[in-house]
Parts: sequence; structure tokens; C-alpha cells
Amino acid sequence: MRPNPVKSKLLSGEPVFGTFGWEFLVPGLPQIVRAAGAEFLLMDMEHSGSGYEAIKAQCEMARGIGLVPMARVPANQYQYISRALDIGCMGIMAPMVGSAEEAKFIVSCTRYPPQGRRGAAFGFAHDDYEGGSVSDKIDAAHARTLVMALIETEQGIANIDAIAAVPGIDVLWLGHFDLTNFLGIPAQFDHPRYVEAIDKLVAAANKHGKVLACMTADETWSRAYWNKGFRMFAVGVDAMLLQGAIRQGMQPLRELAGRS
Amino acid sequence: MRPNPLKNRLLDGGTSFGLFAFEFFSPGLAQIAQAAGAEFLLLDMEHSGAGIETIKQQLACCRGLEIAPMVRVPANQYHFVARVLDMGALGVMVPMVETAEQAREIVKWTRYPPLGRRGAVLGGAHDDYSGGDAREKLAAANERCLVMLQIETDIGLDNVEAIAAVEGVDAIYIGFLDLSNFLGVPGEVQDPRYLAAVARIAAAAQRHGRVLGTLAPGVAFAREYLAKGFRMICFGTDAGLMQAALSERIQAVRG
Repeated sequence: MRPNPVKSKLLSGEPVFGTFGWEFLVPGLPQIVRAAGAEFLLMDMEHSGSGYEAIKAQCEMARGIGLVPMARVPANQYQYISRALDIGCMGIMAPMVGSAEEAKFIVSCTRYPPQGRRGAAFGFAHDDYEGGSVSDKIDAAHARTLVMALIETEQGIANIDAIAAVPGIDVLWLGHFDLTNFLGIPAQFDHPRYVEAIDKLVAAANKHGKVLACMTADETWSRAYWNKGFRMFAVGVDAMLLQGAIRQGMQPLRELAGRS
Repeated sequence: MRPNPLKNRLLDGGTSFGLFAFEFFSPGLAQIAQAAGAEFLLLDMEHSGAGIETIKQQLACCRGLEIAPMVRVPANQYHFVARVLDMGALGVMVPMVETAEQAREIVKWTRYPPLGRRGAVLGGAHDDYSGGDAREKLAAANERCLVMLQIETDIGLDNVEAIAAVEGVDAIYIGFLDLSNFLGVPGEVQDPRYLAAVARIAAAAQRHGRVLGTLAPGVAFAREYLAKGFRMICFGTDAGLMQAALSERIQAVRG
């Protein structure tokens, strides 16, 4: 089975940058983002309406081009996590992780017995429809699967130390917008309660040797979170990147036309 | 732009085996075929009903794999040939080629000016959405495209020597079913008239250094045509292969 260079880089302390695909899951997307330098393509299933057929096609198109496909599953249920892995995702992002029990369950969905409870199918998309030793494949699957827990609720922050301690959780991904919502301070990223929550998250990640990750939409945000120790960033989302580029391209024209 | 190692291998005298796909255009198809040893994937648009969007997805699924994707276009027209190349096909197969004039036109559609008449887009699917020097890309695109013409009618057979002589034609493909149909011996691939036609096509192709190709309905057929000098053999169709494997197993246990 192909390895996951994003996971090995992260575990050796190297930063990794990719993008978040929500809207434009077209045949060219993996190569388009790869040609722009993305190391991973994280595909959303929680808010985008994408189903497994769309995700599977993207995973197949990411094969061989040096791009690691991963999915944010719509819910922390076995059948979502295991199916995303079966169709070739090399990592999963679990939304709204609130407790260590939930984190343990998520990890168990990504591991074959006896380490976990994942059902097995080989000779399919995730192992490139190839033959080979089953036990080697199981080891390779465990080694390559990146497990990312989204911390984006008040429970997630309250239990962050216990969640970060769960073996097999590789990445603590900050869901910054939802976190402010659940803290009752929507989009107030300077609010002391938000700042305090981030400090707790960073401390827990450092204590347990977990990677800190988040989405970024601008340089100010990237610098701020880089300085906090975040080393995995998704630039995007795709639709907003397109919008931003159109808006930026139109700005001088609007000025020439005397429109604000 | 990615090169087409298959074209170089074939032009250097190599032999290549691939899959002719008509039906199962799923995202996994290319990797499934590659894992089975196929070196090229020929995607049919002439008889399959597959449209350009399906072809584009299949070509995207081949990116990064070693398998070389090529497309048989539905008709001998510029917009089909140019579009499948724009989507990233590394070669094009044109059915029912009948004259040297047609062959020259087809070659021109696969080449940018001044060598040909292909309209250009860069930074798209065929050059992997990447930047780079435009001149180099145009030259690389001209270089990598494998042009395969099918001789499968009586008229094509009459003109096969002139067609094979056209510069830029890389491979001459026999359409065995159509050729036998047009010769009045439908499906009779051991009929002397059919065998004489194959010998004539093979002689014309070999005289001009063109690669000979055919779809092989079975192993015996493939061996027979390898012995005749054919070097680009595709097995298929995908649906036929699946049916044969399924039926063999069902028969074996049913007795």
C-alpha cells in the first residue's frame, strides 16, 4: 500500500500545507491543487453535500500525483470513517470531538483487529486493487492513516487534555469558527474566552506530542497560528479561493470604472 | 508536460498490451487495469455512448499512473480529436480511415501550428494545470501524441499503402469485426479474404515502420497476431472480459 507522506512529515515535526475542497470536486481538482503546491486535499463531507462517489473519484484521481487525499466525515460513526478509508482516503477528520471516549472510538474505527474494529476488504481502491500479504497491508494501513480530531465545541476544549492523550489521535484540528459559536462569542477571535481556549488546546497538544492544525484564509491568520505552533494548514476553501481571486482581479477594474 | 513512454517504447520496436474499455468507466478502472498489467487503457467513444465528461474523468484517474490513456473518437472530425487531447489523452484512435487525405488531416489535428491546425489551450487538463514555457509544451504535446488509424473498410484497405505512408501516423489498427463485415465475411477471421487483407495491411504498415495493432478477443487470437508482427494488442472489451470470467466460473461449478 502506498504510504502517506503527510503523516510521516508531521510525525517528524515537518510542517504540511494543503487545501480544503468543498465545492469543486471535478476531475481536475487534485492536479490543480497539486500544481499549486498543495500536499494534501482535505475533502469536506460535513457541510458540502458530497457523497462517497464524489470522494472516491477524487481519491482515484489523486493516486500517483503526490497528493494525499483525506476526508472530513459527516459524523463520527463507524460506517462513515471506515468507508472513507476503504475508498482511498489516507486520513480522516472527525468533526466535533467532545470526549476521550469519542476519540478512542474514532481511532478504533480506523484500526483493524485486535487494535480496533475496522472491517477489512482488500484488493480494492485503498490498496490500489492489488494483491499482496494481508498482514503487511494491515500494518501499512495503520501506519498511513492520519486521524484528525476537530476541536470546535466547549466540551472539546473542556476535555482537551484527555482527548489529546488518546493514542492514535495524530492531529488536533482547531475548528475556529464553530468554537467561537459554541463558546457563545460568534467570530470573536480576540475574545478572552476564545484566546483562553486556544491556549488550552496548544498546551494539551504540546503535552501529548500531537500536531496542531487549522484552516487559514489569510496571511495574518497563518502567521498568528504558526507562531502558536500550528504546523498543518489547509488554505481554503476552494469556492472562497475562487471568489477571492475574482474579487481581487476586479478591484482595479472597479476603481477604473469609478465603482466602489 | 508528461511524456508518453508507451509511444517511445512502441516506436523502438516494443510490444504492448492494454485494455479496451467500453462499459465500466468507474474511477478505479485505470488502476484496476494497471494492477493487472495493462500498459495502456483505450477508452471507446465510438460504440460505448461515453461522452467527453466521462472521458475527462477517466483521463484524470490515469494521471500519476503508468498506464497510458488513449481514446477512440466517435468520428473522424477535428473537434473530437482535439478535445480528447485537451482532456489529457496521450493518443487518439480514429475509426474507419479510408484515404491518405483523411490521414493527413487527422495528423494535422494532433499538431499545433505550423506543423498542424490544433487550437491551443495551456494550463488545462492535458498539461496538468501547470505553468511553464509555452513553446516547450507545444513541442512536447506534438511529440507525445500517438496517432492510431483504424483500417476496417474495403475502401481503407484499398488505400492502406498510401495511408500508412502519411507522416505522423504511428499505428495502424485493424478493426477485425468491421473489416470482416466490409469484406463480406462477417466475423470470419480465418476466411482467406480476411487473412489476405490482414497480410496486406501488415505489409503496408511494416514497410513504413508503423506499429500494428488489434483488439484481441482471446489468447489464441493475440498469439496469432503477435506472430504476424502486431505489437499493440488490446484485450477486451472490459464487459466481455468480466462476462467471460464470470461465465467460466459459473460453468465450472455448475458442471
